[in-house]
Amino acid sequence: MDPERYRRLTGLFETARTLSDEDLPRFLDEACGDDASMREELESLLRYRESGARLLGTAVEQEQLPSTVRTAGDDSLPPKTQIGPYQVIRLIEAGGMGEVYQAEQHHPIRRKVALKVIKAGMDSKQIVARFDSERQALAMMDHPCIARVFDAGAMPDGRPYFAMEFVAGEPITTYCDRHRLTLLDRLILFSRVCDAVQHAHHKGVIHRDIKPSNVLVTVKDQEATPKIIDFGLAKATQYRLTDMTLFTGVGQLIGTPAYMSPEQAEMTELDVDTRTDVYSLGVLLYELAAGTLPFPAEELRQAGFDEMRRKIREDNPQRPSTRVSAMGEGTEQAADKRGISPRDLVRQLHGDLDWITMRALEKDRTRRYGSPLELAADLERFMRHEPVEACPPSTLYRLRKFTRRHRLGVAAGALILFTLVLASALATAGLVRAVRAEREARSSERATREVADFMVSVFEGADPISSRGSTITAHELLDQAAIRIEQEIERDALTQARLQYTMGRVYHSLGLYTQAGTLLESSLKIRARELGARSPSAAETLVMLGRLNESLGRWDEAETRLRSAVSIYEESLGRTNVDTAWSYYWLAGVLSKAGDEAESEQLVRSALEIFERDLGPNTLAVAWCLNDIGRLLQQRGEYRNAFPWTERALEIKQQILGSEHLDVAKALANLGNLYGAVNDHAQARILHRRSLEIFENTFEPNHPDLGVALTMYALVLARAADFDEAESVYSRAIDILEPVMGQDHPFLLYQQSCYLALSGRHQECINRLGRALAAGVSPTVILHDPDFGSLHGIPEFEAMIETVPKSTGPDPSLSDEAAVHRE
Amino acid sequence: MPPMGDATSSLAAHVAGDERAVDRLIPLVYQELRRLASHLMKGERQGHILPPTALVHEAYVRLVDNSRVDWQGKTHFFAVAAEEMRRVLVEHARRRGAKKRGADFTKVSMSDNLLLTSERDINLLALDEALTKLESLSPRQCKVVELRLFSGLGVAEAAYILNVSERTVKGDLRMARTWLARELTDPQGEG
Repeated sequence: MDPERYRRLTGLFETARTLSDEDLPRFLDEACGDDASMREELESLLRYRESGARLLGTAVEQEQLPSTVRTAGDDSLPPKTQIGPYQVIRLIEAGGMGEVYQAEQHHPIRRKVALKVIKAGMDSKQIVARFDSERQALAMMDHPCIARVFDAGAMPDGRPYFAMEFVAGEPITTYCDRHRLTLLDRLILFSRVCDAVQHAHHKGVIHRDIKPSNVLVTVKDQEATPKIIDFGLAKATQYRLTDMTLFTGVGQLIGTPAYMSPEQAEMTELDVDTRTDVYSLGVLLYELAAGTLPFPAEELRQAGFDEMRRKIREDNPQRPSTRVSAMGEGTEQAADKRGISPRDLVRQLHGDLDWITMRALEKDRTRRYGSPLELAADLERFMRHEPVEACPPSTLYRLRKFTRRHRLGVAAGALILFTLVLASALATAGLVRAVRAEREARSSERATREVADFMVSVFEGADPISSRGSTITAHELLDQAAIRIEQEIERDALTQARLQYTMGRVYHSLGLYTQAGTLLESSLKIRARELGARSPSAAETLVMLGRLNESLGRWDEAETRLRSAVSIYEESLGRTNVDTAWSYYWLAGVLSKAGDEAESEQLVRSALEIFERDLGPNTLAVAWCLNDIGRLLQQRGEYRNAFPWTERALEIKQQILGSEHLDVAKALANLGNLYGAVNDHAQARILHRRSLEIFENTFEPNHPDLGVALTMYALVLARAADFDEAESVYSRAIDILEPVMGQDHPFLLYQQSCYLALSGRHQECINRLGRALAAGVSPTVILHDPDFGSLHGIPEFEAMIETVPKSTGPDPSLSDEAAVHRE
Repeated sequence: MPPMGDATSSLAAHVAGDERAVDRLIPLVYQELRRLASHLMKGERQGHILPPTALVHEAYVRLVDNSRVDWQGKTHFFAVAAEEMRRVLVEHARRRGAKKRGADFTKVSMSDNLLLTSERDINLLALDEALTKLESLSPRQCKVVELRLFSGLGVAEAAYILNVSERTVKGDLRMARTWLARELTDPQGEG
């Protein structure tokens, strides 16, 4: 045969293999014509279809791993072979554990049995002994849905075998799919499986290996009955354990561990109880409902041995409805096999069925259904439309679980981050609700939930043992999350963008600006592409990019981004919307730093008005505005006016946040600044000290915000003429800030200048101020900052500030505009 | 163990368009697979079985820094490894056959992947021979089988490596496995 002829043969075979016995001859006639040798060739090949499928596994069509299969017929037992009292009729299948034969028993009773011959390599004596110890319990099981196990013995070659009731059926999943059973019919069938397992448990027998190939469906008189086979075999052969330990040497596992419970994956087989069957039933339910496994077999197989075990023990699978909606073509197939549309399938699974399945799959067995009966009862409640017992685990519960699991392993920062992430993910819901773009509104709720779920899962997945030391830092968690966002590409683009946005926010709040920038830019790109560059979603990202640039000291860039956001919001949501107000608020912050105080104040007052009306007078948003207005007044030298705003802001914050919150710390510092400005340095020092304590308790020791708080405190100390203390606080601050901000950050340069001026190092101070001006600090601010009071009269200093029209500025001795740079 | 960077950067370079970069990988992969295989054979006892795909995964984990390689890179690794795995297995079978002076002991069992065991099942050398014959008829079908059997690559990955559709890969697999089954059962049967 030559390649060309082989190619033709391949083509003919591909068609022929699909034809029925009736259609085949006609096809062969037509396709081969006179070419008798081609026809012979094809016919001969078709005879090897089955063994071919076994040769390379059935995996071509199936996702699941085919079981261990040997080539056809080479040394399977031929018919009529006598094994104990049984005579072989035929080979039914060759699988991972060995071969299964149909056989006949003649004495003492005549019956058909299935003979399961275990492959070589297992200790027959022990297996038979273990089986004997369970024999009594097995004999007591009497349930129409349980196939009886009669006997165990050893073959002449030493291989152990089991004799059991012969069941002519097919795996429950195959049966359901082939008959396109509806979800309801599947649940009814499944409930009967639960009943049977309950019966066995009642008799003291745990199955330990429930999976579709052990739950067969037989049809008699048009009635389908599920039959569970292999009861008691797993214990007798300890095959799971064996199966796994065989490969620990290479760290790989053969077979599919998809139905294995977390406690089985622990491999302390001693500790397995009836609830392990509840878990496996949960996997089966998952598969029957969603048409896929909670953890794809392929995924588990590709994970290393330890990773596979870790996954089973720790990773929470997606809910069935989530999973089924993200299977692409598979979604349609799954829906089709249940006789409904993909949308209806997702809808039917969503909610109760999700929770019932997930409850059975709980990692912690005390949180699972206590028995198969309870699982079945909840399913019946679902079918009768009664409220089910299973309910979604609350976020709080998951958080508690997370902290309990990691106990000391969780850094304080990680916990704060966690709360922050959730808040940030949930906060976006509010925005999106307000958005009119219909397309976005539709995906919004789901996406928000997904984002929250995703973030929670990142935390749950975090493994303190694998991370540095024994502590997971917030940073590490985030990096893990960022990698996962990249990898899990099956998400739709908008959800992806939302995730990136949320992560960007979190990175920003942790002071990890580079990572934040990358994620936010990418999010903006997707949102602009999918929803339009002038969509509120794009504006949402623009606001964050503005804030990020503000943090980086790039005020021009920050202003540009925020102005775009403001204009988009005003256009799409109007001028009195809360989201528009937020964009005003952030833009005002940047403007006040860049020196445009008039516009800044106007924007904050607009925001304040909207917040007070829409959110209420005692809210944080209001407090932030009050605070900023107080600061602007302070910058203008109107100290007496500034006090009530600043104090009211602190009061609201303490009321809402308690005394240990960062925002409270910032408000304390602001008030401290105000006292400093009126030369009450003692009071200033107390307030700043208190503020700094909160910062120190909250942040990891190298967080930039802590650095900023330290520089502020150093200045307060310097103003109070405590230079020794100031010096040590100051150098701590620089150690933190320089690596993050670089040496040319306007904030840093300015703060350094103040410090140098206060400690009387005038020449150094002037050099530093030169660089600060070059970095964008406004000369007006320098002129009006009393910290530089001692520099007036020095020619180089006068040259720096001479561009400022002196007449418009208030008396320098009273002003403290520079406070803006200390915020 | 060779430094991880070698294999990792070769893969990265390959995916980036350096076609020859993968060649640098071959000796690394071959050595690692051989080392792993012989390590396992040493403690070989009856019933100890090992799927080659597991070996390949193990080699991958040892040679490549997964975080720096995307799925294309990973797939290329497995494609290279499939060929090398076949080589290692055949060599092992030959050596063992020579030692025991009996072809019966060169048998290797076939399973969902391929199992190494000291008894029963199909003869690896026969499989190797059949594959070589298949290669002369359809190099692509031979490659598809190699990828599947020795590296456990899925249809999608094989389609990527061979630059054909998944449908084509599935068709190839169906034909090739049928042809092989016949060839292994009845080597003279082919006309």
